[in-house]
Order: sequence, then structure tokens, then C-alpha cells
Amino acid sequence: METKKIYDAIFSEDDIKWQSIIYELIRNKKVDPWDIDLSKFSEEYLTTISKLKSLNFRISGKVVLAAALMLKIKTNHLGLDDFILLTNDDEEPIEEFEYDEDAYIDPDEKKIMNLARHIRHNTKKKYLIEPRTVRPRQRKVTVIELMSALKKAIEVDKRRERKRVAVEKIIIPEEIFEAKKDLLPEQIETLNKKLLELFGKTKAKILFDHLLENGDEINRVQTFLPILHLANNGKLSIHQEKPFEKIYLEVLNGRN
Amino acid sequence: MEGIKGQIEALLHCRPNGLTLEEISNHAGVSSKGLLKKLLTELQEDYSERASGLNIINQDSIWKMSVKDEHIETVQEVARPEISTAVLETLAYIAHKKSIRQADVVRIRSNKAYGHIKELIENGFLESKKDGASKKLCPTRKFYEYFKLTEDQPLE
Repeated sequence: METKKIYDAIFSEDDIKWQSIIYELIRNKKVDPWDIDLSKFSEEYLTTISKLKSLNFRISGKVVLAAALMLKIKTNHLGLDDFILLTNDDEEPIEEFEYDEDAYIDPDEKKIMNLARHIRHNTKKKYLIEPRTVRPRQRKVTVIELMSALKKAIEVDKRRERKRVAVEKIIIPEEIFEAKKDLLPEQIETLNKKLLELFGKTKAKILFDHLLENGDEINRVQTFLPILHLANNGKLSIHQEKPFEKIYLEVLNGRN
Repeated sequence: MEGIKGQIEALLHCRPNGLTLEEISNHAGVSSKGLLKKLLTELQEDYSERASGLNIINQDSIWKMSVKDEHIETVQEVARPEISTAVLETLAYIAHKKSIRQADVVRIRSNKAYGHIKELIENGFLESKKDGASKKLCPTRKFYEYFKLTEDQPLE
């Protein structure tokens, strides 16, 4: 029943009292930290969240902090202070462990979990259990491992180099850079004049292909860029029913 | 004296990362550093004389209980290496190049390399020299001693 008080304290709107309520209940031995089921706690959290009409980050923040707090209380009860170095700045930092397929799996981890479970079910005995050496002993790295690490590093280097070359290959060709650079008002004006001329003859939508000097990709892009400028300036509209189909240009107001 | 030696041995056993003389002095309640040094050296000799799988080493003023080199292969699967895989790859790459700009290492090994380099410099495997806006990294004497390599030996 007292555990319920902890849940209520966390999920209530009061931001000040909840931490002291938890400490007070544990200090007065009204609640055993081992009785606080963190999975039930997350269920309570999800229920609360589903009831909320709007997102309340304050509750999420409280829940994360409360879970960390309770985990630390439980850890301290285990006597494994060394195992959790979350708040003591003067202690050495937790080693950054990157996920790796060959990552080392701590064989002691399972033992620690079993030990925690054992203590949970034998609360009377919990203070009698001596903490064990929880950090596994480390060994020297061999030159063979150094060589295999080098092999891997060189592979990464080569892979990155291949990627870099591949990216360079798809870089926009020089001509397009030139086209972009030289996309001066005169170029837009020339195309504009051409469009007006064609529109004057047909009074209909103009097929983009009719503007091309030749069919190559570069010429297509070079011609299309000024069209985008003209369209952006509201002088024409571009139509294409489906991707990769013919592009039609409609000169707006007849005289742009 | 044997009692204190036992205390030191227990301390070294419980702290895989090793202890400084100061820490040993605090935990064992022995203020004389000279005595502690003498006992540590004796302990070192005891271990090297008997057919033990362990030895006592003094690495950068840190006293450690460590597995003897000839048994490293045996414990390879059981004990965690002192240098993590990713950090070792960065170290190997730098050592292979002999001398390389930090910026180039980061370009090849990603931003994580900053952390790796920091750790390797702190552990004395790398040294960093200023090179314009960037830094030049090279392996230290400790690196060559640790892996039993010579500086002129190409790493490939």
C-alpha cells in the first residue's frame, strides 16, 4: 500500500515533494526498495500518459529521474557502490562502450543479476552478503590483436576512400557548374525571347524538348535552369503529368 | 612485514586498474612510502620467482597485478582487453602511419576518434605535437615497449 504512495507522489503535479516522500518512506522502513517493482512503475507511467490530453514532459522527466533514483537505492543496498557511478563526479567515469559485433560480454553480469534476485527474495540476509569484485580483470592486448585491429582500420580507410571517390563521381559536372555560374540575366532573357517567339506562333503550350539545341543531358540541364528561374518569377508555368514524361511550358499572360 | 605485504597483495587483487603508492599507503594504513616501495619490489620478486600466472607491474607509477605475458593467450577469451576494439583500431592506424595529423585520423575514423585519441594520450600510448591548426600524433616509447615492437619495424 505504501508503494502506491510512491507512485502517487511521482505522478502527482507536485514537483517538490515526491523525492522527499520516497526517501522518507524508505528511511522509515515503510517501504522496502526491493518491493518497488520498476516494471509496474513503467506500467503506471504508460497509464498516466494515456490519460493525459496533452504531452507533459515534466512527468516523463520525473519518471526517468525516479527510476534512476530507485535503481541507485537498490544498488546501494547491494553494496555495489562501485557498480553505479552516476552522481559522484570525483570517481572515474564509466567507460564508453561501443556496440560492436565482437563486443565483449561481461560474464559477471549474469551473476550480478542472479545475486540481485537472490537478495530481493532474501531481504533479511541482504546486508550480510559481501560485495564481490564486480569489475572484471583486464588483460594486456597482444600484438596479434593490434595487427588485426590495423587490418580492420585499413579496411575502413579503404571503404571510406571508395565512398569518397564514388561521391566525387556523382558530383555535378563542370559544365553544369559553369551553367549555374553563368546563369546571368542575359541567358534567361535569351530563353525568354525564344519562348515568346514560339508562343507567338502556336499560342499553345510549348514542349520543353523544342527549346533544346541537342538532346544531351548537359544541354537539358543548362536549358532547364533558366526555365526554373522564369517559373519562379511567375513568367511561365511548368507542366508534367507524370515523372519522366514530356514537360510543357505555358507562357503566362502571353507577354511575360 | 609479511602482514603488510599481504595487505598490498589483497589491494592489488581487488583493484584491476591498479593503485598509486599514495592509495596503497592510505588503504593499508602505512605512511612510509619507502617501506611500501620495498615491499612492493619484494612482492614483485616473489611473483616472478614462483611459477605464478600473475606478476606485479609498475606502469606509469601505477602498481598493478597483471597476467604474465606468456599466459595472455590462455586468458584471451576470459579477460577483457585493456584497450577496447575501437580504440585499438585507432591506435593501430596511427602507429601504422607513424605520424599523422589528428584531423586526418578523425576524417578516416569518424568523430569518435577524438575520444579515442584523448584516452590513448592519457594512457601514454600516443603523443600529440602541435602542427599548425591541427595536431600531429605519433606512438610513444610506451607503445613500442608494450607491444614489444621497434620503432623502425613497419606495422603492417
